[in-house]
Order: sequence, then C-alpha cells, then structure tokens
Amino acid sequence: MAKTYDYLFKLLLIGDSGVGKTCVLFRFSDDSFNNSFISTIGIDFKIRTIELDGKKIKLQIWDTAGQERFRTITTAYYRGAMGIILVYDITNERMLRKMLKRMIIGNKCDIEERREVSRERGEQLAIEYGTKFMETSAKANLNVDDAFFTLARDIKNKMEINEMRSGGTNSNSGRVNVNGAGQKKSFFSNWSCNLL
Amino acid sequence: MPNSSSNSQPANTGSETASTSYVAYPEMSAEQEYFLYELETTDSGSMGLVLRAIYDTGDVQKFARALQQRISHYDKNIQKVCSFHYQSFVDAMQELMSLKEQCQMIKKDSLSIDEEVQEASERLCQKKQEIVRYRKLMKNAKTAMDQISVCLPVLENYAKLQEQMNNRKYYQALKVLEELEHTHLALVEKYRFTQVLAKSMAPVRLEIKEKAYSEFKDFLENIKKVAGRIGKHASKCTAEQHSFGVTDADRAKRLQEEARKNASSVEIEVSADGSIVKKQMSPKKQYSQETTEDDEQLSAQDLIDFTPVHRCCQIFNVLGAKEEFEKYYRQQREDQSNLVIEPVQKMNSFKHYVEYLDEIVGFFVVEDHILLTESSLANPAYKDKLWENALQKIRQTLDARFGGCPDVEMMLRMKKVILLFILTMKSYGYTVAPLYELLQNFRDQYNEILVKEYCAQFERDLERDNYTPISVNSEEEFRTVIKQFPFYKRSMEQEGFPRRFAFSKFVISAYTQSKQYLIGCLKFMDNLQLNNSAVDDTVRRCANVLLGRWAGILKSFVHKRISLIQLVQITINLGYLEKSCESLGTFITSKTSGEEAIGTTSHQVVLSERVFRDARSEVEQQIDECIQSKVDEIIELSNYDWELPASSGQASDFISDLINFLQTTFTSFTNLPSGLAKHVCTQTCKHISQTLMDLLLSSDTKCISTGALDQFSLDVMQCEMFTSRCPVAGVDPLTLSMTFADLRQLLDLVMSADWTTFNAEYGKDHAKYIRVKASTAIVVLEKMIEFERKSTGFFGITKGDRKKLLDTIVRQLKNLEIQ
Repeated sequence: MAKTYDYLFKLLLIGDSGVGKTCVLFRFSDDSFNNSFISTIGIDFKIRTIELDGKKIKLQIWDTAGQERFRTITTAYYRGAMGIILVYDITNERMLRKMLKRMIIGNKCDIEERREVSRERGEQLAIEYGTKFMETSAKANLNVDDAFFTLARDIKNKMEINEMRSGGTNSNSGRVNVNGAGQKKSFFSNWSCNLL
Repeated sequence: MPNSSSNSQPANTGSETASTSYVAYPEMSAEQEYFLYELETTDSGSMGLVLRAIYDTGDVQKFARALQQRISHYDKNIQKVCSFHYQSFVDAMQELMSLKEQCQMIKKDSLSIDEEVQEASERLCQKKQEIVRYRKLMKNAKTAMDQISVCLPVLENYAKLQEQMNNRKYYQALKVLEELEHTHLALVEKYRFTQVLAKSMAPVRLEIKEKAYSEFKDFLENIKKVAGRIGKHASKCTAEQHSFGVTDADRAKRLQEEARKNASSVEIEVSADGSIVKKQMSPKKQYSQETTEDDEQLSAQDLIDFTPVHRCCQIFNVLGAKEEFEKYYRQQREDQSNLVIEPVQKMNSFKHYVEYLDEIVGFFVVEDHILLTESSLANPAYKDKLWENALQKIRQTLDARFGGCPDVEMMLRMKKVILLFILTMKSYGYTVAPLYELLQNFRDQYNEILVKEYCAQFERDLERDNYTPISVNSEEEFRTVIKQFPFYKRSMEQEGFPRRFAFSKFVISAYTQSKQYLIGCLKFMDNLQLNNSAVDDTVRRCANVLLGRWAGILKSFVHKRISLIQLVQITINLGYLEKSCESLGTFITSKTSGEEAIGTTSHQVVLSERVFRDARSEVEQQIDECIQSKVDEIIELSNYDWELPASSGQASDFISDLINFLQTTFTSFTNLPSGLAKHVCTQTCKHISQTLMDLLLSSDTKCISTGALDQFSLDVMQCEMFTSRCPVAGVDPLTLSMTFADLRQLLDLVMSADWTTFNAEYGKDHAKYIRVKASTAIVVLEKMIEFERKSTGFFGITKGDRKKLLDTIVRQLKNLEIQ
C-alpha cells in the first residue's frame, strides 16, 4: 500500500481550561471559529496534512481537556507527543501562573485591552524554556497556521538530522520531543521547540 | 131758360121715367121707361147693349125726349134739396168758425207745455248720465279690489319665498312655492307681473335642488370628517362592553376604584407609627377623570347633525325627485365608501391601521343610523352591497399588508384591532363571517411567525449552548434551576454542592421558549370567543407543530459536523425535553382551563412526546458515526508495511493511539447513558473489526508477508484486549470480544495454515473457523502466495512442492467457495 504521507507528527495542545486550545485547533484544521465555549471532555484530535519542502506531513494534533478532572487522562498523552504547544490566555495572568507550576508555559488572552500578560513576559518565558514563542488569535485567524508550521518545520529538521546520523533508515524510530508553547485567541502565541 | 122750360117738360117726363115714384109723364111710353131704367141700373158695360137696343127700335128721338125729361126732372129735385139744407149749412159754418178759435188756443197751450217739458227733461238727462257714469266707476273699483285681493297673497308668498331662500330654509321655501304656484298664481295668471314672477320662480326649484345637494355634500364631508371619531367611539364602546384590552387586574382595579368612590373618599391608612390616619382623597383628580369620560360618551348622533339628510329627503320628496336623490345619495355614499376602504398609500404604523378601520366603522355606523331614520334612502340590500364591497377590500388590504408581516407584536395588536372591528360591526348587525376567516389567516400566519421565531431561537440556543451539564454551587442556584425546569432526581437534594444536573442550559431555555411560545399562541386566541377546549386543542396542536419543527431542526443540526460532546449532551437533553412534554401539557391546561380543570385529561389533541424519538435515534446514529469517523481517521494513519520481514514485537502506534483514544473517551463521557454507551462501544468495536478486515482484504495490497501478518495480528490482539477490559460498564466482555472473532479466526487460520481442519469442518456447526468464509481466506492466501513468489523469485530459489501445496489449497478453497 502506497504511503499517503512522508511524516506523521503527533502534536499536543495543552493549557488551562478555557484558554482556547480547541479554538486554535479548529482554526488550524477546519479554518472555522465558534464563539460558544464548549469544554472538551477527555481528549480529541484533528488531523491536517501540510506540505513542507515537498514533503507531505500529517499533523495529528491532540487536543486535551484543560479541566483538572481530566489531568491524569491527558498527561498520559505527553509521552507520545513529538511537539507540544502550550497555550495561555493573554488576558488572564492566573492561567499563566498555573502553567508555570506545571513547568510548562501557556497563556491565553482575548483582546489587547484586556491584556494582562505582556508579550515580553511570554518571550522571556519561552527563552527560559528554550522554546519558540508566538502570539496568536484563533478568532481573528492570526499566526495560527504559522505556529503549527513553524513547529512542524522544526520537528522535521531535527528528524532529518537524526535520520542522517543514524543512517536514515527508519523515520519512525527517531524520537523527537518538542515542547511547543503556543498561544491562542486574539493576538498571542507563545511557542517553544525543544529537541530532547 | 127756354131749354129749361122745354127741358122741364121732358124733365117732367124724365122724372117720371127716372123714378116710378115720380110722376109718370103721360106721353112717355113704357118702352122708354124701361130703357132709362136699364141705363140707370146697369153698369157701363151693358150700356152698349142698351144703346144698341135703343137704336134697334129706331125711336131714338123719342128716347132723347124721354131722356130730356128725365134730366129736367132730376134738376128740379136737386134744387129742392139744396134750398132745404141751406140754413143748416150756414149754422154749421158758424160753429166751425168758433171751433177753429178754440183749437188755436189749445195749440198754444200745448206748445208752451211742450217747451216746459223740454226744459225739465234736459236736466234729468244730465243727472241720469252722471249716475250711469258713477255706477260704472263703482263697479270697476269693486272688480279691481277683488283682483288685488287675489294678487296680494301671491306677493306675500313671493316675499316669504325670497326670505326663506335667503334664510336657507329650503323646505319651507319649497312648500311656499308649491302653494304659490298651485293656489295663488293659477288665479292671476293673466297679469304681466305674475308672469314675471312665474318666470323668476322657475329657477328657484333648481336652485333649491342645488342648494340641497350642496348642503348634502357638506353633510357628507362632515361625516367623513367625524367618521374616524365615531368609529373610534363605537370601537371603544364595544371594547368596554366586551372588557376588551382590559386585563383582569385592570378590571379588579376599576371595581375597587368604583367601590372606593361609592363608599367614601376617605381612605384609612395605617401610618408609619402605627396610628390610624384618615387620608383625604383628592377629589379633583377624580372629577377631571370623569369629565374626560363624559367627553368620550358622545355618540354618533351627537357628533353629527343628521338634519341635512332628512331635510334633503323632504325637499326631494316635495320636488318629486325622491328617486333622483336616492340615486344620488347611494352614488355618493358608495363613492365615499370606496374612498374610505381604499387604504392610504403609506400605512406603515399601527396607528394608521386603527384609523383606517375606525373610519370604516364610522362610515357604517353613520350608514346604519341613516338606514334606521330614513329607511327610504338606504335599504338593506344596498347597505349589504356596500358592506360586502368594503369587506372584500378590507380583507384584501389586510391580507396584502400583513401577508409578510414578520412582527409578532404587530400581529397581536392587529388581531385585537380587527377583533374589535368585527365585534363593533357585528353589534351594528353587519355580517362578519369573512372577517373571522381573515382572522383565521392571521392566526395561521401569526403561529407560523411564532413557530419560525422560536425555531430560530431554538437554533440559536443549539449553536450557543455550552453542552456542559449545568452545575450549581448553592441552594439558591439549585432552586433557580429547578424553578425553571422542574425535572431532577429527588436524590439530588441530598447531594453536596456543587450539584450537577444531567442536562445543559439549552434544555432550560428550550423549555422556557416553548412555554413562551404557548403563551404567544394563547395571546392570539384572547377574545376570539372560543371555548376552553377549543383553545386548549388549538394550543396543543400549535405545541405539536413547534415540537415537530424543533425535532426537525435537531435532526438537521446533528448532521452538521458537531463534536461528540455536543451529540452526547443533545441525547441527554432530548431525554429531558421528552419528559418535559407532559409538563407542557399541564401548563397548557392550566392556562386554558384555569386551576380547577387540572387533572382532567380529556384533550382531543395529545402532545406527542414521540416527536423527539426520531431525532434521538438520529443523534445516537450520529454518535456512532462520529466515533467511527475518528476511528477511521486514526486507522488511516496505520501505514502498514505489508512486506515487513518481521513484526516489531509491539503493537503499531496507530492501534495504541486508537485504543487509548477509545479508552479515554469511554472513561471521560461519564454522562453517556449506559445503554447508549454499550451500544456505541459495541458498534465501534464492530466497526474497527470491519475496517481492519477491509484493510487486510483490500485489493490495493497485492502481497502480504508473514511478518506483516504477525504485526497485524498483534494489533488485533490489542483490540481484543481492549474488549476484554470491559471499557464500558455493564457491557458483556464476551459479546464485545465476539466482534473481533471473524478477524481472529481468519488470522489464526492463515497464520497456522490449518487448511486441513478448515476444509474438513467447513460449513459445519461447530467448525473451528466457522466465521471464516472460503472467499476471504482465498484472498489472504493469494496475497501471501504472491509475496512468497516475489521474494523467492527475487532470491532465485524455487520450492516446487511448496508451490504445489499452495496451489492445491487454493483449488480446494475455490471449491468450497462454490459450494
């Protein structure tokens, strides 16, 4: 059976409840936006195929429930993820702090007027964790694609380097772990990429 | 004298012969005598004969002598007589002379008398002539007086006529004119002045007619002006009569007010410090209210002076042109009616419609009044015609204007206005049945709008719902929720906070919406004079319509790409909506029949709880499909290498992901009803099994290595483990495991190459590979042979026996397939 893709990257969206992970994902996978807030139960995923440098890459993005009661379920998914996007709300500092406690950064914000977390703060955190950073808006469709593409490209690059080192026989054996801190809603995406 | 002597002789003889009495002379013969006698006595004619006879006798001498004698005789006699009478003659003469004198005297006297008489009679004549003249004068004067007395009334009446014309009292004027013409003028036609008068009076009738028309026109204009007010007033009266637009609260308030008025204007109030205070009502306010009310009590008769109509009627009656006027009246009224029923171009506000209908009411109220008072003018047939005309137009207008009216409030208000119109017109005895039809149309339309509105709201609620079970953190919140939607498990009351309801806020809003919708439907039926059960049935029908539409909306909504979370919450919500139907029924009963009727269930129309059942199964179907599509998406990532030399020893990534995902999903959706969960779980497993089977049998895969088969088997094993772990509470692990039995038997058969058993037992009840069909077995076997051929060919090694064996097996399988 012919392969329908060159790479399969599993990405994970994490962040506190209500920061807009599902919205970011919907914007990326369906290019749609829904104003109503439906909290995710358990875990969901979306798949989108992108092309980078002539390579077909399938991105399977796992969208975790942000609510505390699903934490045990969702953390089980961290292990298999090749890239992680941390999402926080720029309008809510509390959510940023929460993320910090869990050693991951994420923030979400709504509108510039309600910004509580400055861009500089997000960048600083990204540097601290050695990740890339971006401010996004799922609603206004700002930087969402960029965030995913940047992450996918980084994973691809690391993977190819890995392949070359190991003789480049099997792409599946190369374990790549990426910490991505992406940012959602309105204007803010924080995002980091880290090769372990 | 000789002759006389000589003659005396004869004379003697003659005398003798002449008269016998005389002395006959002796010498005279008898014959002579005779002759003389004959001569004396006979007439001259016979003289001839006598003479002849004398001559015949020849003695003519003798006879001449006889004759001589006779003559002398007579002479002597004459002398004697004369002498005798001479004296008396003289006396006579003397007497005559004296007579002559006397006669002359008399003549003289008579002449003087005559003169006197002449003189006297001349004066008399003069007097007489004078008398004659005066007599004549008197007679003339009398005649003149008579004539003038006849003419005077003419003049008087004419003056009166002019005055009345000036005072615009046309009817009286007409009467006078009539009298003038028929009684007075007829007698004095001959005068020139009367002719002039007659001439000048000729156009008066025409003038009166014109004046009457113009007055009538003024009247028409007048009524047109006040028609609106009359209509408004009539409507108001009807409204009051039917307690229209007055809520119970208002009515109660009014009663109270009246009672208060009747009792006393002193109100007793308990003041803040507890003492009782008498409070004087301000009477001023009340008075002012009353006055305004009185103002409004004016009736049609007060607003309009109908006298012009009556006057016109009388005038035309007198003019003998009654029919002309009737015709004119009807024409005018018809024109007016057409004008009134013709809607104004821009009727864009509610006020315009009220005015429009009020005008029509006014028009017909006036018409009715005229019909009552002047029955000759407007007969029922004519009135009905007008009304029918108007009805048609009103219907047209309202239908056209409200055909697409999207405003429920407006419809509701219009309904009231139309209803009021109907009642008002009915009270005046007009047929209003078609208007009820109009109202019915209105109702249908109104309901349709309502349904649409609430459907839209329903859709919005569907879109906006957070699909999260409602969670309450305090008793207060809990009460708020159950007040709006009284369905919950009793045990919840014992739970600690936060308490969670199974349904999301969508259920509450849908339930509230449905109640509001029903109230909306009921509102339209206010005052429609339907009995309770009819209202109840209608509302129930409406409710069913709405529920049906909602179910439809739900069905189509779940076909949009919505998430599992939404679908699951929708099924739960639907369950609650179904339960709430009964409560809606009770709600309807309480609204239509009042408190006392609750509990009786004799409704013709039953709220069908079933309406949601279809939608529900649709949603459940969608849940299956939603999970299955997720499964498909993951399986699509499988990326099997069918020529794998050896299995990795662990399950493929995708299958771990899939199992994890399912596990997570089933553990996370704690609110999924257990029956549904079991069903979904089984369906999902079946689907996975089928999809994997398809993958294995897919014609895209030409060859399969043993290694790949091992890997595949390993993956299927993961699934089997998943089923045995009992991912959903209550599901029978055995049943669930059976979902992969087909696949497992096939894999076992092919991997162990146990063809002998398969062939021997094929088709038997307790066969080891009972679920494997020969045809599927062939497919897999051929793929394996193909791989073997490729790989051995590649390495240049031929295993003749092996090939033969395989060919035999394939042949046998094909035989089995044919069986």
